Amino acid sequence: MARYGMVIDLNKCVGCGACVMACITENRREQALKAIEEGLQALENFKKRTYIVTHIFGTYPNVGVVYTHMICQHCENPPCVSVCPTGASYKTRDGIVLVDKEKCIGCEYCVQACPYGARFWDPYIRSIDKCTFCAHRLAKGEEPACVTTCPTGARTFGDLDDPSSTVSKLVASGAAVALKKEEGTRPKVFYIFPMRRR
Amino acid sequence: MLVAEDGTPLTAGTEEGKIKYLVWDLARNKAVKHEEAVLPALEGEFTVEGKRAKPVFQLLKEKVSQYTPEWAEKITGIPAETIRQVGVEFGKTRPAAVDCGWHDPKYKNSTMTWRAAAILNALVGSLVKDGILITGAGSTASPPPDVSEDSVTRIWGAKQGVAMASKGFTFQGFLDAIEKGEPYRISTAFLFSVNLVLTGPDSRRWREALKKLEKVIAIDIYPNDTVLYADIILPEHAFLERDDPLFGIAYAPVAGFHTRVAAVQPLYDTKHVIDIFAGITKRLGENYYNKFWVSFAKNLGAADPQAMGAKLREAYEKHGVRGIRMVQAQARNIDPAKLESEGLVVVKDAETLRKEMVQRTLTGRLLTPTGRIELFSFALNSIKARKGYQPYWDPIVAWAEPEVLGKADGRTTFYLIYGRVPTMTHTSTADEPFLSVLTPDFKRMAWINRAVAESLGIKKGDRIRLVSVETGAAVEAVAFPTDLIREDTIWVSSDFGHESEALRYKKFGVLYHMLTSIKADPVAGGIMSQEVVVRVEKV
Repeated sequence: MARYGMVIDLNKCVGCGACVMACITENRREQALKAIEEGLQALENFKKRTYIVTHIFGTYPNVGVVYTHMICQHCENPPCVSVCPTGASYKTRDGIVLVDKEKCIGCEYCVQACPYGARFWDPYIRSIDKCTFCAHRLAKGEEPACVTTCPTGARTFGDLDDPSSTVSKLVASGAAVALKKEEGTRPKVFYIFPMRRR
Repeated sequence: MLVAEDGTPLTAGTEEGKIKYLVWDLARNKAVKHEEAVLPALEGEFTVEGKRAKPVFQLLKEKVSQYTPEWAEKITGIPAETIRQVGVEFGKTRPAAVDCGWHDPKYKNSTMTWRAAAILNALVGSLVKDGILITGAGSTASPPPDVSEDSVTRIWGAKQGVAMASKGFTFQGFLDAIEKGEPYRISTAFLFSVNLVLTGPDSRRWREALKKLEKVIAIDIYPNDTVLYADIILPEHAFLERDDPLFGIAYAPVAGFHTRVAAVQPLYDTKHVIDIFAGITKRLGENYYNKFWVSFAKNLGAADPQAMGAKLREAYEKHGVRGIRMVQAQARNIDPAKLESEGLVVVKDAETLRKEMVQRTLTGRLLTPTGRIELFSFALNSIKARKGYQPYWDPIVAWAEPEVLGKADGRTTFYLIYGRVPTMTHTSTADEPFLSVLTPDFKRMAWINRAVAESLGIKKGDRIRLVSVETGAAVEAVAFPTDLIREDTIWVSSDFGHESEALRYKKFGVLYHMLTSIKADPVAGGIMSQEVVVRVEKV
């Protein structure tokens, strides 16, 4: 049994959005086609399972740009699962947090409970939606679409229980750290934060 | 290599068709052919057959001694101490490389700027090494051939004094031909995937000029701004719908070939551009049709264009564009089935290619006249011989001023520049639904320094007007005050602000080329797209 996790190296991100686009084409193609048909406004409102936020800091001429990534953290202790009244939100044996859309009633308790803003109501499938770590690809021995697409290799994926995996090594080295530890959620997505830029 | 006082490299005659250049051998204290030197002199001055001569490195050293960090601080505003520190870091770090440019000249001195960067790379051994710059130095690509002497672009470029006018890079010359009939009148324009009214310099003029032509025929996949000026639109297959010929792999550290294989049936009544031109020339008669295939073969580099032309024609008539690809693959011993299933065939992987490039460098088989990495430019030296000395074509390196230098005060006037964002190109992404919304709005705005914006009372989202100081042309933009930009500069993205109502997913931008004017850089004839100073006004 694997314990899947991801490391996102923000030093390597160039903000191109290829991960966002890969996720949409891999996982939300039908919804995307509907939004395209509806027009620009629907596209503007189209929710993403993973997204990038640009941060500009400093005062000219000592300035920098950092891109941060949000994605479901696939917590060991996921508050979204414990608040779900119907059992739609659940954790697989591989530690992946998923939503069963047949059971989802759209109460959005989980959206409120998630400290990372990783969940959203998808009007096209009428269910809460979120990152699945591309579980269907993992079943075929493939990595998540965002990981294979990233042109700079900013996202690394693997088994956190395998000490020889790159993700394990990065986490063990202390270079990759979890977000909002104080929430007690024990995320399995880790970030390598940018080195200070002058 | 030794260069005489008159600027001529010293030679020892020709052997097997190759000129042998001299270097000074410190071991034997005399001038010898490069490959015979035991200890080639980098510095000093020597006398060879009564001529005073210096090694190129000595000439470079003398040339750059005037360009001190204090001198550069006055031009760039970057403190001399920082420049010195960067220089030391660059000199001590391995591998290290500076991007030495790929764009056509944005400024009058762009050729010299990139040359300076390339020289720095050569000095720290970064031209042919793993993990750093490997393009260029090991290239086997030939320079582009001259265009016809009757070409509008060539005649116009020569008139502007462009040193490389014969290459015909000066497409801006078509404006005079359309507007004034100089050097001769043209009546019809075929525009293939080109968006002149958005990306042509002084785009106001292109808009008027296209109206004056008797016929404008546009081949494109998008109803972009230029296509709207066409009398006839020949819609092309989109990339997923088309079979393509064989192309060499570019922009990757491998040697090989790639192609496109149609993945879906065309959605609409469209054609491949080759079908379009083959169809037109066939209607014009056998003579034109035959010429089309012969010139096609020439463009593919065929040794016998007549024979190859006939072969291509036969294959095309049987199998369409796919047939052309099959002939090309056969000529290169490439398995067509593998090519079509994988889309690309790598002939030499990165490791093999790098080894070959290193070997070619070490054995003096590069494309320079000496076969080695040379700091001295033979091409620029021949321009100097033809046209006299100008810093823009110094065969070593020289500071040459851009036209706009010193013309922006950072209070009311600003240098105008543009750049890329990862999700947009000039044109082909404008109507891509998701890329359109994945591009954040701030990347579509005009960036203005935060402190300057405050002093002008400009806030984020305010509409501002950019007015070209040179032509008076004005465009509106949305302001994005930011610390990411210098006080004297305005930045916009190279989306350039599409207007065509036929594009469903376009968003706002800045019509940059309304503000540029018709210019040609002295070396290649590029449009010098950043030689622009603007005033900023609040709308």
